[in-house]
Amino acid sequence: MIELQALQKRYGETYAVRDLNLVFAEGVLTALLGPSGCGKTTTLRMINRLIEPTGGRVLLRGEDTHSLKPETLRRGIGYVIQQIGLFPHLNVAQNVATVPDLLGRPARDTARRVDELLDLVGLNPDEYRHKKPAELSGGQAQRVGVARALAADPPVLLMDEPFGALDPLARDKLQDAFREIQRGLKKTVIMVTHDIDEALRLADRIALMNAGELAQFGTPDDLIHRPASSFVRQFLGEDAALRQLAGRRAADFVRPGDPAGLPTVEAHLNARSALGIMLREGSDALAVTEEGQVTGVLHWRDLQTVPRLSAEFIPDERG
Amino acid sequence: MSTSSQAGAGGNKPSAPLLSPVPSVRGPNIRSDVLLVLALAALPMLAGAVLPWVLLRPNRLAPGDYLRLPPPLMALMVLLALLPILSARFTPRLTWLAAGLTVFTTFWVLGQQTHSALLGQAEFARASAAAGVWLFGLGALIASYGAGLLLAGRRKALTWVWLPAVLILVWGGHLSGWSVLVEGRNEGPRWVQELVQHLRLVGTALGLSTLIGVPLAVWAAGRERVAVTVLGAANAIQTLPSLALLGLLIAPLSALSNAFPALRQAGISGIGIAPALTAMTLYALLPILRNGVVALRGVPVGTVDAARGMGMTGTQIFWRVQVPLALPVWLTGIRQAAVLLVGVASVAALIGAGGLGTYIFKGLQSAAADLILLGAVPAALLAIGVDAALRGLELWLGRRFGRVG
Ligand SMILES: Nc1ncnc2c1ncn2[C@@H]1O[C@H](COP(=O)(O)OP(=O)(O)OP(=O)(O)O)[C@@H](O)[C@H]1O
Ligand SMILES: [Mg+2]
Repeated sequence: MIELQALQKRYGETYAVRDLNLVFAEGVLTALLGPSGCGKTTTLRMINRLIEPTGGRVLLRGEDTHSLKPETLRRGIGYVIQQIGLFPHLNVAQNVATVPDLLGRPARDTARRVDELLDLVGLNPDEYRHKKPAELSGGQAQRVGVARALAADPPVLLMDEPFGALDPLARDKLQDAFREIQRGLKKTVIMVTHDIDEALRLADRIALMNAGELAQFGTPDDLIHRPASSFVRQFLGEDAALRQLAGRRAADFVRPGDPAGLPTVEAHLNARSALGIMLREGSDALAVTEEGQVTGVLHWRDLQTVPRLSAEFIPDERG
Repeated sequence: MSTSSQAGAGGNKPSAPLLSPVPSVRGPNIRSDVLLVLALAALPMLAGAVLPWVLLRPNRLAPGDYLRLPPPLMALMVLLALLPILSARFTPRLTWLAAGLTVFTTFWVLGQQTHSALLGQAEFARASAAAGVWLFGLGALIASYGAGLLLAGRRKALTWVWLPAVLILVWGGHLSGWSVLVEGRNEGPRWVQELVQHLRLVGTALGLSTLIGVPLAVWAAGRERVAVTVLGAANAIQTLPSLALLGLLIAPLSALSNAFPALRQAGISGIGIAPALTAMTLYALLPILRNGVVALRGVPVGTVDAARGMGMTGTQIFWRVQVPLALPVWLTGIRQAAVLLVGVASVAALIGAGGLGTYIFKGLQSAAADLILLGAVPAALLAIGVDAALRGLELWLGRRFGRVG
């Protein structure tokens, strides 16, 4: 879908991004992860040409983005930045309608689309349509930001620390909401973050950057279990596997089996708690219960490969 | 906007909060402030009531006699002076009316007193307003201002209730004995001409400076170094008194016209208007430029960045994002420029550009206070009117574009 070839951005003598080669597959959520100043934002903004590269190319569906008009390119790519990105003089509906309006879509269709999207991001259209950004909480504003980026139904979504400015509770809620949305829409998402938990929780793939260069590209499991360098291991931390489990519910690991005699864990608890119960009870399997009913069994060895967001990564199909 | 829509929605079905007693918007603190202002207003009014109201002279330049109000009227005016503060104490809802009444009565008594003073006098006799009128009028205006503090939002306009009443007095000839209006009547069409000339100077200079200042501000705002320089220069010049600046600007320009006698012989008014307009345009340029740069640079970078990221072109970003967000502050600059220009245009008469200033300087030369007032009072009213009109425009536009914060 999107391919970076030897992409480079140089400011004077220093490289913000250096010789970056990456492929973002269609329908996959990739996190651009790395310490502050490693070139994540620069990379993201070179994709929609808010920053022009000093070397290399960006291909979108095989086409060099340099051959497109920047405005045309950007109207086809959703873009979400922290809070401040909403237009303060326009109400929520007008904000969401920005790109469809730029594309000259009929107003009636756009109005319907705006309502759909507000519903999708969990805001009641009747209540929020006419509010000004100043009247929204940080979490609500960011939901509107996501709705706005989705308005013209772009196949690609670029997000720069979209949940960074939120308090932990609001962030968790919005991450869950976004995970649901992405499960349904299957956009090609590139999300900049320096929050390891967020990357482990949401991303199908992680591109870990360091000082402008790619440190490792792979699934979260790849990075955790097969780190390419000591930097990767250090950056993720020795407890990375636990943090990854903390972002998953026990229910995500359930498979059919015989629960007889096993200690129980409630389905809504996170997988790290399940692991804690295993350690405490000295058992390598747990019976998962939902509202008192046993729904299946959770095995120790399954915790070593964490299911991903997209269908292709989820081990067994569940209805 | 949100409160009004809530009120509208609540109107359909009675809801509990609306039925509970509405707390007064103005708390006790503000009330005591108002009482202080009204007390300060009462002092000059009381002094004015006992001082002479009319100066009667056989002609406009001769010395004359000061006439006080007859005792019953004086007593009435003393009572009237206390009316606004008493009203604020006991019937605060009607204080605007009490204050308006004091202003109106100032004019009414002035008209009535000048008429009676002129009875049996020769044609050239002049009855002018004396210290009593000025003090009482000043106090009355302060009272109006104080009464305005008790009113919220649009109701503040009620403090101007006296203005139409006074205009009717003037129209009906009640004030025709007042020396200023006598001069005005003598000047007649010439006065109207000067007023029009004044407006024309202000309008042209404002138009020119907007035409130059707006693109210049847009250009400067995008360039860090230029913007800083412009802001620095504008702020430095703003600290100079307007008269001094106009003088500074006029000097080189008149030197220029002196250097080319051919220009001077082409007609005084032609030369008079050109340098005056140049100076006025430059002067009005400052607030427009400064507020424009401040306003455009005040548009959050993140917002502009988001607009770019959405795929807006430079032109679309300018019109859809930067202009609406910058407009309120920018309009304030244009309003300041307009009000400044009304004042500065009065000085333009010094270099033969005409306008209401003509009367001010004529009056100064011949020590005729009435002539000065004939120029100064309308100029002041004009400034107030322009300010109010542009404020209204700002409010309306602010509401249309949904000003933030
Ligand atoms: N306009 C610029 N001029 C010079 N250097 C720049 C410029 N923009 C970015 N840089 C440098 O490029 C490097 C990468 O910046 P970038 O914004 O991509 O970092 P980041 O990974 O997004 O960091 P953060 O997590 O703090 O947002 C930084 O070292 C930064 O100082
Ligand atoms: Mg960044």
